[in-house]
Amino acid sequence: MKLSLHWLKRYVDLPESPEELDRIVTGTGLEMEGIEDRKARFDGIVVGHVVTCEKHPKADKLSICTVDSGSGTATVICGAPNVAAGQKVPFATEGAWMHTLGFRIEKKAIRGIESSGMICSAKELGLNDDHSGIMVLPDHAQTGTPIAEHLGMTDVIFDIGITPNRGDALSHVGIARDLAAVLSRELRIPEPLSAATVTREHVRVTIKAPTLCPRYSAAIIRGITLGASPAWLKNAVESVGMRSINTVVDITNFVMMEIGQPMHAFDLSALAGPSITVRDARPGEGFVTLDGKSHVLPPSAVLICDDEKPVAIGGIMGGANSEIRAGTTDILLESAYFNPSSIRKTAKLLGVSTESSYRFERATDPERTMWALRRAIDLIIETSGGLCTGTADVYPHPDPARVIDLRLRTMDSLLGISIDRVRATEILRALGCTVIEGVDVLSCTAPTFRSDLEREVDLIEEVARIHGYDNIPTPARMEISTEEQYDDEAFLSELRSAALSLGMDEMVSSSLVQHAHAQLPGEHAVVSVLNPVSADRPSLRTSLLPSMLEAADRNIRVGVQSMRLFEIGSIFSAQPSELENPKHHEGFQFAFAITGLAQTREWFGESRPYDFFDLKGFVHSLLEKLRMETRVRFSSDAKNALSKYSWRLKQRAVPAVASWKFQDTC
Amino acid sequence: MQDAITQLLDEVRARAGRLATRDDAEDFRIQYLARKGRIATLFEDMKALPPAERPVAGKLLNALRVEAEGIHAAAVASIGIAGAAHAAHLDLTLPGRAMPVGHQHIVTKTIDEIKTIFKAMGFSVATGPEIETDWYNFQALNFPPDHPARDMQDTFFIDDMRLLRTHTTPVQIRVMEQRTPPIRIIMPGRVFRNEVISARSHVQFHQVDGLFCDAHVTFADLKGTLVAFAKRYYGSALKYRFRPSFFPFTEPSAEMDITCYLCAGKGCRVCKQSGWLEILGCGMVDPNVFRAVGYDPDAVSGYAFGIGIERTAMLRHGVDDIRLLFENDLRVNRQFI
Repeated sequence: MKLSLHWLKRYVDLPESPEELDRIVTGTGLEMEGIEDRKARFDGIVVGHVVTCEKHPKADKLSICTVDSGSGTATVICGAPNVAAGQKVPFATEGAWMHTLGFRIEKKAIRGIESSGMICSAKELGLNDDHSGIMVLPDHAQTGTPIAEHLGMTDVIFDIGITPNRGDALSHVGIARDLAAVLSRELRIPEPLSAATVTREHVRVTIKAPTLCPRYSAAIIRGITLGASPAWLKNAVESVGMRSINTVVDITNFVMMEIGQPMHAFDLSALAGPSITVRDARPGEGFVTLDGKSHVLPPSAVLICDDEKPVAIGGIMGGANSEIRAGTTDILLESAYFNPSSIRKTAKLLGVSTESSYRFERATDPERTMWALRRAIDLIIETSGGLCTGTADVYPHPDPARVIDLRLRTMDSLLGISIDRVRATEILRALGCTVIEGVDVLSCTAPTFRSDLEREVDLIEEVARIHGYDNIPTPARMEISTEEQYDDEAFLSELRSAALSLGMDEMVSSSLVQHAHAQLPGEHAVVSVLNPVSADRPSLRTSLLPSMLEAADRNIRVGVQSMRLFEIGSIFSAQPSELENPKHHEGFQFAFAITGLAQTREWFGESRPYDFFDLKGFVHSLLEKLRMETRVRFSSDAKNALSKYSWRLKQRAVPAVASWKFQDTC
Repeated sequence: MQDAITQLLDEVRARAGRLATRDDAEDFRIQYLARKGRIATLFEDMKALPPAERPVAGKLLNALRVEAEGIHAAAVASIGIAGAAHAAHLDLTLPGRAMPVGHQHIVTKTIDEIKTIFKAMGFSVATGPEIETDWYNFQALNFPPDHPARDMQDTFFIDDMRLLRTHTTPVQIRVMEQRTPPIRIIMPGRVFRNEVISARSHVQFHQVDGLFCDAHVTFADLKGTLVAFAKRYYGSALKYRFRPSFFPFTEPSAEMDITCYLCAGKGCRVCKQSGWLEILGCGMVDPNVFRAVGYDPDAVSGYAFGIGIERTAMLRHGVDDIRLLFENDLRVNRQFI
């Protein structure tokens, strides 16, 4: 999620540098995936003053200008038709990297006169597409000021990865709260006024699906003028990677990015009146969303309807039939709380993921719907005019408060450090908990926006996280164990060492193979996965040999002619086995193959290809290393489809496949 | 001509019994068998004979040469290797008869290295099946149904009940079901994720999970153990940090980073300019996991951790494409021993 530093500073004081904030944010468990310093794009570009401007003697369209950059003057050749003496201009000084053009400003001669610097157009600054001439700045611009500062382009954009438990952190206020807690600073959340609300009309909201939609708040605003957003709003939504559309859409997005509450605005004239019904989707019911796609709704879906028809898939996307458009004057604004697991199911089944569904499935704050509604009313009236003529808020079964006791001794013994009551209380309060301090127990009411705080251990984690994992000691000495020690892999390790000691190279291949490579003659039925990544490798291997032959083949093709390969790995077959796994068998297999030359031609002797007796010798040597050589017997095996020969260890037949397969390539 | 040949043959035979040392043999070779030796000289002389006589002489000369070579070879063989060291003419720089060397695969090698360190700290090694049930892979590990946490692990399903395990963590459930605390195990094995195969991700990879549960196990114990491991594996000079994270089966959860050993923390391509490398995930066993196996979370605590093997091996050996690990190109595999 993208966050703007300017925006964060509305809620908490952050004088720290982006690098320090990176460290602090990471320390709270939010993953910093990227930092974009917007002003870095304008390094070396300043407000310049064109002191003189004359025609180039050897070129009609070029001018020779003297530009004051605040730290000296430079001679610059400029090709723009609108350049003139006395202007304030964006001036790229020598050495500046031009982001949009992909080159560095260097001294160079243009038609015989040396130019050092460049006067920029808006397009060259990456501000818009205007390249008709240079950008002329207002006269009051201070010569020498970095252009980023003059343009107000000094924001820093953080890209933060949020773990699935932290739905509350999917907003600027959410992140600001963590930062305020870590830095022990005040968190400032604006208080909506909704001064322009007059209750003139009744907004009827009926929830017929209270499990899927526990709370629905709505407001009617009439008499608005939709238009382009003012600069502050446009910059804010664009800074976090969203497109600025119009004042109302931008405000709903702004409030979502501010507090984490997704909102939706319906065109009231497209509804059958100021009335909303929330109900389950009927089996097989279809709906066209505002992106023009039609969907068949799953039973987990919740529909927002007017008196006649569905107008939105709750928590996912509004409908094409009620979208606000140019000319919309009256709107119905929705601010609701949806059941996270139903939204997740529905979004997955529909194959749709929106900013809304992403937040609802991670649980929004059921107590914030009205706050967000009032905040949006304020901002819509501020930017688009109009009047709020009525609101509704239906919340039939409010969630009971979650009171969790935190025993200080339990916390100390889980963390291995003593965190005192005062510090723990301070942290929990900063995160939004209501705390009643007892002697050994803190009785905490979890904030409604933290649905992940359910148990004592969840609070312990919060205290540890904000206190800082680095402040938990790392003991230099620890107890040793006198328990019995065992190794389930002891035999496999011994087998691997034995094979390596005989000069064999180990390979590790894929468990998922082509069906034909799993369905071997005479072998058991194959186990396959329902959802393979590639349709050609859906099956679990029943033998290591097909992959081994593939590997040998690939090696021969790239010029490795001689090899002794082995692999130890699990194989699978569909068959009844132990009681707990009635439908398949899973076991280990050891496989090996030899091909090419047993000995290359050297000064001391001729080359010799591997033959069957090398293979047989390997088996003997391997078993000798494993102290099993006395228990082996070799015999021919006419019945085995892959092999004409097998060896028998105790009573189990082991086919000698590889030797015959490789005769062709010897 | 024929007389000369017969005479030389007698002489050669006479010396046959007196070639006792390397020098004797070499002297014999130079005198008779060398390019300008006496047998070669006779071959030269033969060219002067009338054409009719040449075949007879040639035949006798060849017989002489074969016999002389036989005498020389037999003498060299009987003097044998014992004399070799003293003889300048046995070329000791010739390549030796090499024994084949087996190369362990980098994945199993890395697992072995990690196992060795934890075994020395008293951990046992436990394994479990690669085909798992939803219970062991998810539910018992506190992944609620329909929770976004399941998105972190795209799963291959076999049917409603069975799946390919997405981590080796289910082994800890199986072991805790069978045993009582204290349990101190590491769990190596293969895991599967339904992801598009690329340089950075594969549908299969390997993990070593760890679990220690007993009365009074603390987060400090977790840190102590994992720092000891990291110092032994990556070198004692390393710097590390633990930062909060999220796993359904641990609470509190953390990820451990070490300073990037390629750039010493300055920032490079491998550490994505951050100066840090994530090496493992860890945390205190969630009480719900203990409840799932019938332990009392008020009586038992524990820590768990998981290390990705391919990632570890690739960072350590500078391999930048995970697919190389499973292609089994011996030109690659044989670079690791």
